[in-house]
Amino acid sequence: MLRWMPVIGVLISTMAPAALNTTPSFAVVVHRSNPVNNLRLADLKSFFSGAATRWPNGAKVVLVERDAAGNASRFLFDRILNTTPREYQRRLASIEFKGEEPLTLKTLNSDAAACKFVFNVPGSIALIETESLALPACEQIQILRIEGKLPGEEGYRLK
Amino acid sequence: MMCRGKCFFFAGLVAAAISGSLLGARALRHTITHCRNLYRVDTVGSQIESELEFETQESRRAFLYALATTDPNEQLPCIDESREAGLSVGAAARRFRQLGVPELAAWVNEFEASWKEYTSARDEIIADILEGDTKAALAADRSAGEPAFLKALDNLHRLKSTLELHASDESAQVNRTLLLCAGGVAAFAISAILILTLLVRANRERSKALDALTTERVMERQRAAILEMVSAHAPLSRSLKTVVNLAPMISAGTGAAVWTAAGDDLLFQVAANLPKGFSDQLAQCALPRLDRGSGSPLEQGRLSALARRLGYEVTRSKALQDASGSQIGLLQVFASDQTLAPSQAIVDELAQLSSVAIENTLLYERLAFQAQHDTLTGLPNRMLFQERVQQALRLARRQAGKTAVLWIDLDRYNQQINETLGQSAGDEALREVACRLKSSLRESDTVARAGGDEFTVLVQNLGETRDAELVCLKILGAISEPMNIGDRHITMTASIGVSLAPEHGEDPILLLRNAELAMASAKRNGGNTHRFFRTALGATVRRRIVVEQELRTALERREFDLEYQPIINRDGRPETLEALLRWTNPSLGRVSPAEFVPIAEEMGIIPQIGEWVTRRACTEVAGWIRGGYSLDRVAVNMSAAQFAGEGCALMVERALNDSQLPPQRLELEITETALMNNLDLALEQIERLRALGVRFAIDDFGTGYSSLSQLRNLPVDCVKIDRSFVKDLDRGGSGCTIVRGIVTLAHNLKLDVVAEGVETEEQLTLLRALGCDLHQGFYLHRPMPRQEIEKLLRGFTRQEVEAPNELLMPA
Repeated sequence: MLRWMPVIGVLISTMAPAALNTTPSFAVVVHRSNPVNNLRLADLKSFFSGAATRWPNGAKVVLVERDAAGNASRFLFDRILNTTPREYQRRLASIEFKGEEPLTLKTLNSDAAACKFVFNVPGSIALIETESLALPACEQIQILRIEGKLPGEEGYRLK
Repeated sequence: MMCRGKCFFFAGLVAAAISGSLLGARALRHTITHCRNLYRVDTVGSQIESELEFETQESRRAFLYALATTDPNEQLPCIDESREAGLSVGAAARRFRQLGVPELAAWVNEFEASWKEYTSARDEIIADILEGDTKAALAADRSAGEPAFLKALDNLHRLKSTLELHASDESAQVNRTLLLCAGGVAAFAISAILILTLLVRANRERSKALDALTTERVMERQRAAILEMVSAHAPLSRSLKTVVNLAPMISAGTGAAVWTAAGDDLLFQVAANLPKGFSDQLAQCALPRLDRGSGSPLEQGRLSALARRLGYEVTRSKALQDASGSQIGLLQVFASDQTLAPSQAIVDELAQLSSVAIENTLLYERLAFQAQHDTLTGLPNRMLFQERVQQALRLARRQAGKTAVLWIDLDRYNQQINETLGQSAGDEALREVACRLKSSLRESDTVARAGGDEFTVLVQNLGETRDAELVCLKILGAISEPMNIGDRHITMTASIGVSLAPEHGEDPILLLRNAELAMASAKRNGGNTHRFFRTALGATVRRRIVVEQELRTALERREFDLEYQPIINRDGRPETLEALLRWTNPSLGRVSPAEFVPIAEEMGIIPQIGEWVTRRACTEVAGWIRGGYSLDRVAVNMSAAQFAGEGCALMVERALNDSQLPPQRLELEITETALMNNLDLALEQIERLRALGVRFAIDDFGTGYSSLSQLRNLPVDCVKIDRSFVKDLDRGGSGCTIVRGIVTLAHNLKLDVVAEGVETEEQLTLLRALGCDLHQGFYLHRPMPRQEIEKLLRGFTRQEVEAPNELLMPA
C-alpha cells in the first residue's frame, strides 16, 4: 500500500489542479526493475536526445514515444528537447549514419500501450501524461522523480 | 411344520433381500463415487485438459505472432494475449490439481514447472521482441522458449494420458461396481419379488379367510334373522324367502328355489334371484319327493332342461330333511355358470336353515292344532269349542236362528270300560265314540271333547227345539250301537244334556254349564237318555257340583269319620260291628252316604276312601278287642271299584298288619254286583284273604244278580238279607217266603244269615223264627259313634268276664 502512496500523491496533486487548470502534466515511467528512480531534466533530455544510450547499470535504453500528434510528444519536443519532430528524426538518422550505437525508439499510439511496453522491456523509458497513470496498464511500472519531484508535487517540472 | 418351513423360507428371503439391498447400496455408493471420479476425470478433467491445451497453444500462438511482427503496437496485444492465455493455463492447472486425483497431481506439477520455465523464457524474449531485436528473440526462443514449451506440451500430453488412463480405470470401477450394484439389486429384487409373491399369496389367503369370515358373518346374521322369524312364527314363505335370498348374497350370480313336501310331491314355495318367467315355470313344477322314489330323474331332467333354456344350470341340489330323516323339502341352487356355484358347505347351511324353517312351521302348526284339539280323539277341545259357540251365537243373533249345545257323558264309562278293561281300551272306546259322534252330525256342527268321557256338541241353525231332540236321539242311537274294543263286544250308553240359545243363555260358558246340568239330570234318571235344561235343574245339580268339589279334599281335611252299628246274635250280644262311613263337611254339614258315596264312585275316589275306612275300622276294633271288650269282629263294606283293583287284597293285608287285628276278626261285605262285575279277579282276591282268615259276607243279597246258583260257588261266610225283604215281613207280602228261602239255602251252604233293616219287634221275632242267625237294624241299635259303642260294649263285657282274649294270648 505504501508503495502506491507516491502514485496516489501524484494523482491527487495532478488531478486536482487539472480539474481547475487544463495544463497537462507528464510523467516519466520506467520498468520496475530499473534501479534509477530519479532523473534530472538533463538526464531525461540526454536519454531522449540519444546522448545517453545506457542506464547506469549498463542496460540499453529503449525510448518510448507517443505519436507525434500527442501532448506528450509535443511536450517532449517543445519543452525537453527544444526541437521539432523533423529535427529530431534527422538527429536520430545522423546518429545511425555516424555508426554510433543506435537508439531504440518505439512509437506507441497510446499511453496504455506505452505503459505496457515499459512493463515488458526492462530498459525502456516513456513519457506519458500524468492522467494516464491511473490506467491499469500503468500500474506495474515505476514513475521516476524528476529533479526529486514526483508528478503533482510542488516544483515538479514536467508540466 | 409347513408353517415353520414357510417361516424359514420367508426369513431367508428377507435376509437375502437385506443382504442384496446392502450390497447394492454399498456398490451403488462406490458406483456413485467412481461415477463422480469418472465425471471429474473424464468430463471435467478432459475439459480442463482441453482448455489447458488450448490456452497453452493460444499463448504460444500469440507469442509467435508477436515475434512475427515488428510494430510494438501490434506486438503488445499479442503479448497480452499470450500472457492472458498463460494465466488461463495456470488457472487450468490449478483446477486440475483441485480435481483431487493424486495420480494427476504429479503430472500437473511437472507441467506447471515446465510451463513456468517457458513463461520465464517467453517474458525475457518479449523484451527482445518489443525492443525489435528479432534475431535475439528468435535465438532465445529456439534455445529456451521453444524447448520449454515443448516440454510443457509433453507434460501436458502425459497428463492427458494419465487422465485417460485414470478415466479408464474409473470407468472400469464404475462398471464393476455397477455390476455389483446390479447383482445386489437383482438379489434384492428377486427376494423382494418372492417376498411380495409370498405376501400377496398370504394376503390372498387372508382375503379368502376374510371372505369366508365375511360369508360366515353374513350367514350368522341371516341365520339369527331366520331363526328369529321362525320363532316369531313368521309365514313360511317369508322365512324361506330370506333363506334363498342368501344364495345371491353369498355367491353373486346364483339363484335358489325351495320346494316343500306335500304328500308324495314337492310343491314349489319360493325362489330368489331368478327371472320371473323362470320362477313362474318353477311354481308349476311339482317334483316327486326324492325319498319316495319313482319319476325323480325325469322331473329333475325336465327341471335342468328348463333351467338350461333360460341360461341357468342346476348347480347344487339338496334334500331338506327333518330330525327323523324324512324329506320335508328340496333346495335347488341355480347359476348361470357352474363356477359361480356356492360351496357345498354353503348349500348345506342353506338347506339346514330351510329345514329348520319348514320343520318349525310344521311343528308350530301341529302345536297350534294341538292347543285347540284333543290329542286322543282329534276333536276340538273345550277352548276351541267355546270359540265356535261364540261365533255361532253371533251368527245366530244376526240370522235370528237357534243354537243348541249338547253335553254328552258316557254312562258308567269308568266302571264299565276304564276300570274293567283298562285305560287303553277306554281310549279306544272314546275314539270310537268320537268317530260316531262326528258321523252323526252335519259338517257345520262341531263335536268337541270336554274331558274324560264327556263330549260337547254344537248344533247350529236349528229350526225348532224338536230338531235338537232328533240330534240327541241320533247320537244316543249311534253310541248305543255295540262296539268292538279289543277282543270284546261292549255296549255303551250316554246321557245328554241340552241347552238352547237364546232361551237358556247367550254366553258359551253359561250354555255349557246348563247343558252339563241337564246331562246330570239325564244321568240321575238312569242314563241313556237326554234332557233339556230347565231352570229347576239348577239347584240339584249345583248341589252335586258342590258335593263333588268338597268330596275331593274331604279325606285330606279329615272330614270322614266312622260310626258302628252292632249286629247282634240270637242272645242279643253285639257279635259284629258294621263300620259305617260318615262325612261332616264345614259348609255342607252332615252329608248322607246315600248322596256322597255314588258321587265318590263316579269320581273314582272310592278306593282311597275304602282304604281309609278299612284301616280306621281295623285299628279301632283292634283297640277295643285289645281292651277286652266282648266283640267277635268288625264288618267293613267293600265297593265294586275296590275289588276291581288288583291291590285290594294287599291293602287289606297291610291294614290288618298295621292294626294288629287278627284276620278272623275282620269281615268284608261286598255286593253281588261287585262280585259279578269281575268275578274272576274278585274270587282270586277273596280266596287270598280267606286263606288268612278274613270272613266275607254278601251284602244286600237278593237285590243284585241274585244268582242263587252261583251262591254255592262263592267263597263267602255270610249272607246279609237286603232290608227290602225284611221290610216286607210284617206287611204280609212275599218277603217271608224269600227270607225263608234264603235262610234255608244259606244254612245248607253252611253260611250265616244276617237280616238287615230290622226296625220293629215283629220283624225281629219273625226273623228269629225263620232262622236268621244275626240281626241288624234301628230297632236293635242305631249306628253309634265310637264313645257310645265303647259304652255299649263295656256293658256286655262285664257280663262275659270269662271270655277269652286272643289279642292277649301269646302267639
